[in-house]
Amino acid sequence: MAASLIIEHLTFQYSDGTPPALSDFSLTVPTPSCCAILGPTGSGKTTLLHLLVGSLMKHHPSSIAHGSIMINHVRYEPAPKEVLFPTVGLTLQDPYVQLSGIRETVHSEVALTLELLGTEPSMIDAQVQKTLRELGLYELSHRRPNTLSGGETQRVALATVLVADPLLLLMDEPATALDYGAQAQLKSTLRHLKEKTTLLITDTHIDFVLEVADRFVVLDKGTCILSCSKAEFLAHLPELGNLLPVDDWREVLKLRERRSPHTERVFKALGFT
Amino acid sequence: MSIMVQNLSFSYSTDRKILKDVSLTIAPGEFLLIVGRNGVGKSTFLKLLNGIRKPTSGKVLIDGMDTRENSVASLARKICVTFQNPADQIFAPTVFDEVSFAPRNLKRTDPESIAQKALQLCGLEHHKTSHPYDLPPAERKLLTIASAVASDATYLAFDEPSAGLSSIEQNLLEHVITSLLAEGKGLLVVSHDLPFFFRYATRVVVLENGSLSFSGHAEELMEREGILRRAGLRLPPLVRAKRIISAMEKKREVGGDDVVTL
Repeated sequence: MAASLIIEHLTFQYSDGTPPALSDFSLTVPTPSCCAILGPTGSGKTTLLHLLVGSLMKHHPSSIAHGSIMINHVRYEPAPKEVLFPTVGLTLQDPYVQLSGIRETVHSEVALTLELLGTEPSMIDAQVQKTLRELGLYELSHRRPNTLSGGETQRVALATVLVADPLLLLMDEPATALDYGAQAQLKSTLRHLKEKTTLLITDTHIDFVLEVADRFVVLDKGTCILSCSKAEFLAHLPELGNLLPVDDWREVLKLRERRSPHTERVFKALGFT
Repeated sequence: MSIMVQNLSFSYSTDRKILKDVSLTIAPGEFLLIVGRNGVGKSTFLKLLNGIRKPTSGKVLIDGMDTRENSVASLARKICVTFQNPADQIFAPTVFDEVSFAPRNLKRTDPESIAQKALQLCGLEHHKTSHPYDLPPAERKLLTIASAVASDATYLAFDEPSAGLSSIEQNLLEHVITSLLAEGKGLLVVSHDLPFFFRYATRVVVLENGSLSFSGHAEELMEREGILRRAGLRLPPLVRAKRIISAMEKKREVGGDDVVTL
């Protein structure tokens, strides 16, 4: 069962005196769903994910935070102070940091997660194989992690988190180094996953999330400026040019204005369902 | 004056050939976009250009300098490669030290002002005294690009430079690319981001199973759907929208009304 997530009036400021990374941020993510967190660099996307997983308050205990976060009916004020893995999983923007570097093969790297969680050893192999197949990584099972390409590393890093079946999965820029085939595979994995896991995905390019997310949140300098459904997001898209790379999409939306009997079907084919 | 890749083959081990008999040339002022699926050998190809890796057979000549016979350090005056993962190359304690390392080390005239100009071009001058790891990932990526710019090498090669950049940094990257091309630098970019780079690339090559399956203009590539699919590329949204609309109009003319997908 996917975890519910309710964030209320969350403010977070690092102890170095810089302005708040998040200001009075509220968000309710219905289950099951996939929520895209968009915004320029420094808007607070990554801070939000690290607050939710618990690593930020754990490692920056002297930072200033207010508000509350409720994950799966457990309330944290202002945010979890311990890492909540495997209830909450986080894939990092830099996949190289996510891998342990101490394992000889992709299979044993992914198995390491389950070993550390104390999973019954006889269950581990099957679970690892299932995850590797789902992510199209099975043929890489015996490769050394340090011989993988950038895109392959990104998928293996995701596998090390997904194998633990988190109820809330946070993904920081999961599609950046993936070719379109790998992106399509990830999209279909996420569409299935959405049924049992609540997903929060940050992205700087909107192509990927337009096809998987059903909620859209836009952050600017720590403030939430838009939190809406996909239809509303598309309606606001032309105004978001200074925050998101939407020029091309804006032109596409102009085509939509020229209504023809087939327009809606064209947009369905483009992923605007 | 050019990069000449002649019958280049490369393997890391005997059982897996990465590149097979690849030949191409790049002249200063050209922008070569190198595309292909994850793991196909694009990044390895860049490492063969600056001599970090040596050909298993065939050769690479950078303005006549054979990479098999010249050190990485001596090739660095001619060609500078940035890695996909900034952490693989950043080492200095401040942003300015990082960017001024290449011009100082390569004994360029007035390295400080070269570094300063590169930081300005990449929108990083306000981070001059910051530690590189205090920068957000997108700006760290721009930092590696600024370091390459400051090397003032004739050829600059960037591995996935647009990955993880938001619209602000993408605008900066566009500005960097157009400035470098105007200066007559030769640019090589490895990327999956066809929608971003197709406007600037003078030529695109597709790497598939170790060989070049396509070499030509981006517009030409966008017509070759089979190659695009196999290379893991997607058309820019606007091109895709227009194609779907025209395909549907054609279908309507002949009486069909199925939704067309691309």
